[in-house]
Amino acid sequence: MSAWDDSTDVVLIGLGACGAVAAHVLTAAGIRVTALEAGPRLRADQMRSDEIRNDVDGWLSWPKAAGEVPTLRMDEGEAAPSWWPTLMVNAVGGTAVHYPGASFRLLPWNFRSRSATVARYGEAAIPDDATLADWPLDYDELEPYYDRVEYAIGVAGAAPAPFAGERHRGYPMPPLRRSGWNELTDDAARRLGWHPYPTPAALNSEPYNGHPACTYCGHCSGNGCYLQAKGSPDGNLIPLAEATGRLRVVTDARATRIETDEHGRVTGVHYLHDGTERFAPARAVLLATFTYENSRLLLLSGSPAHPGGIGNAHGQLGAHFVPHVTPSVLGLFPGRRLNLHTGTWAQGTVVDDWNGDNFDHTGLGFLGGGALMSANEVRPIAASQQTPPTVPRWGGEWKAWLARNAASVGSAVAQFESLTYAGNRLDLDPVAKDRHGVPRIRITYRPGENERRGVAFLRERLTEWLVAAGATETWTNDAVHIEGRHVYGGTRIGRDPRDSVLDPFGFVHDAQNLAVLGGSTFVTSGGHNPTLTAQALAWRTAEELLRRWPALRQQS
Amino acid sequence: MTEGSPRRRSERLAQTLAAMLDRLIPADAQGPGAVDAGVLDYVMSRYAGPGHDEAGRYARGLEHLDDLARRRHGTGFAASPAAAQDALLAELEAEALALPEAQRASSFFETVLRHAREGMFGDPVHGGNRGYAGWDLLGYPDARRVWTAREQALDVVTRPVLRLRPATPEPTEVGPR
Repeated sequence: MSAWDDSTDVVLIGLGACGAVAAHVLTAAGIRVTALEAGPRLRADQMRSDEIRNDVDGWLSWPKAAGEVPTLRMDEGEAAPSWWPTLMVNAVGGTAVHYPGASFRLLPWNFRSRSATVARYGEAAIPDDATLADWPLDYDELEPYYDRVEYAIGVAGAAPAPFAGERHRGYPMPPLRRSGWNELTDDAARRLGWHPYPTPAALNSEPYNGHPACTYCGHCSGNGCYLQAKGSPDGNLIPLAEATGRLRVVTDARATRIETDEHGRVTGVHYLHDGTERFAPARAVLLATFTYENSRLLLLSGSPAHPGGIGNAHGQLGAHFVPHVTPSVLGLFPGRRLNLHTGTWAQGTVVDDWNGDNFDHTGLGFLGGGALMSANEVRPIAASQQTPPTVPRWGGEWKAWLARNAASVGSAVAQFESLTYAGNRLDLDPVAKDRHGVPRIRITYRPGENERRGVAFLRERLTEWLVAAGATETWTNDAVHIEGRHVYGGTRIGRDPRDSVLDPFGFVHDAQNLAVLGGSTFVTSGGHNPTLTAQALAWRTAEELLRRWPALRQQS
Repeated sequence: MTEGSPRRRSERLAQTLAAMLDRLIPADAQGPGAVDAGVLDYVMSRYAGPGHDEAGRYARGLEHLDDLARRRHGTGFAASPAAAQDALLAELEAEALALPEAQRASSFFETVLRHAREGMFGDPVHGGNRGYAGWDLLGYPDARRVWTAREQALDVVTRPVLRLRPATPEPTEVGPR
């Protein structure tokens, strides 16, 4: 065993959006952290504005997706098809390297949607098979952590936002520049009586943290920032943690199993590095991979003390899995140049009037809602596919339509707060394996009537919005689209071990020196992009680890 | 039916592919067709050419299309009249669209259409979009890294300024990370 192994206090699995937050908090407090990151270190000079490389080839996500993409089936008893595109990235900085940086706080209602629904609409409003629960914390408890993350990574936004919870101070930066399209959709929403505001974004609207302002290149999602103007942790939190001298980053280190002793306590992590199996002993372990991989590694780490996986004493591991379902609508604005090839996706207009319980649901047949968003960042190959169903998809007529209209198509999308259901979960696929012969994760997910109605309702609002902005023709896809990047649950937090894997602070109920970070800890999906909430929870978990540290240290 | 030497066969398939691409993206008043815009080269060099994962699928799909043309019109696809070619492609498209959603994208027709769009509208460093034919069709200027507030306004024409690109991708130096 090498010397540095003995000098480590905490082993962190995965150095992405959430792991980096924990590394920053712990190392600043004097804790020595070893981060096992399955991917490489990337550099800003590797980032290019090339749609084929970034979006078609997915050079950032493909190395991960190629062998490990989860399988998906609708129902138990079905074989799971083996291809479901996702955008997980193995790299220092993780999937946040190529996220477009939308950084929302959830609504206060999201944290108590069960009790608030029962109070306003009655118990019967909740579908029978839904496993809807209140979070074991409320918005006010998370507010200081939202704030810390916003200032640490740099979030540009306008406060106060309509319908948002109280915040004790504003954003560290003003919102991103408003594009013509942003203003057009903003005006249209106001004319409808709605309350639009600029997308809060972890992108520098002005120089911040020693990095320059965003130049609105239009290749933000699917790509890292060539300028480090994005608040991805590879540019700020990780260098900060490394500067303390207490963070050791091991790249190309793939965790294979979390080891526990006969009492069920975690003792360290097995990982593959340079083709050999190694072991990193730890007094505490933080598991901070993607939602799919958090459940997967816990399921693969069973032992006599933890039969069926760590945290699975009550069959809760992998349960309460839910993705966002995301209706979108396109519109034609004849004769107008929308210039959506300029700017970034997080340069957008948001409407929360149809999110959470911000509107009366009586008689609608669904709960919750979602943020409506319109954004920039449409690249040319993508633009060539935005034709209405009334137009041929190839040939001379298609070309003529593109020549006339390609610059005049705008779209809007919503993120519906889909419910968790008893039948939907993650488990190990009995057939599909990754390149190391390890089972891949299997998704069993079927949206319910609640989702179909909610999506149809939001699709109508999106259509209204585009028409108010001047669209003469709108079109959409009727399918319930599952967003494989916005995924929640599998290791949810809760007070009762019988319906959760983690305690309210994110520590495994029956392995208290192991905590889990990320979207897998969410109790409900919420109606906004999740990353900021996952990071705020990670900060809170890291602080709790510091509070528990004297006791943990004595036990190991 | 397969006929002639392997070399003749692969030439015939390349002709079928060229003809198919030129019907998906025809030369017309709006600008160059697929072959003139480098789309055939793009598809061959990345997907359909020897040694690529999808070469076999391309060969089978093109063979099927050629057979279909022979049965219907007594001549191979490439030698068929444009209207007959379009009708055959419309048939393949209808078959693809009738598939369950999970299988549609991997059908032969949808695969070629997807690759054709990539070759037409992707960055020319990959061999397609020759002469910026695809970008001109869309009114897309270039992949520059800075857009000004003025260029982000509505109805402003953003003219190309950055179309002289190296033939192979090169990293842009922005200093150490």
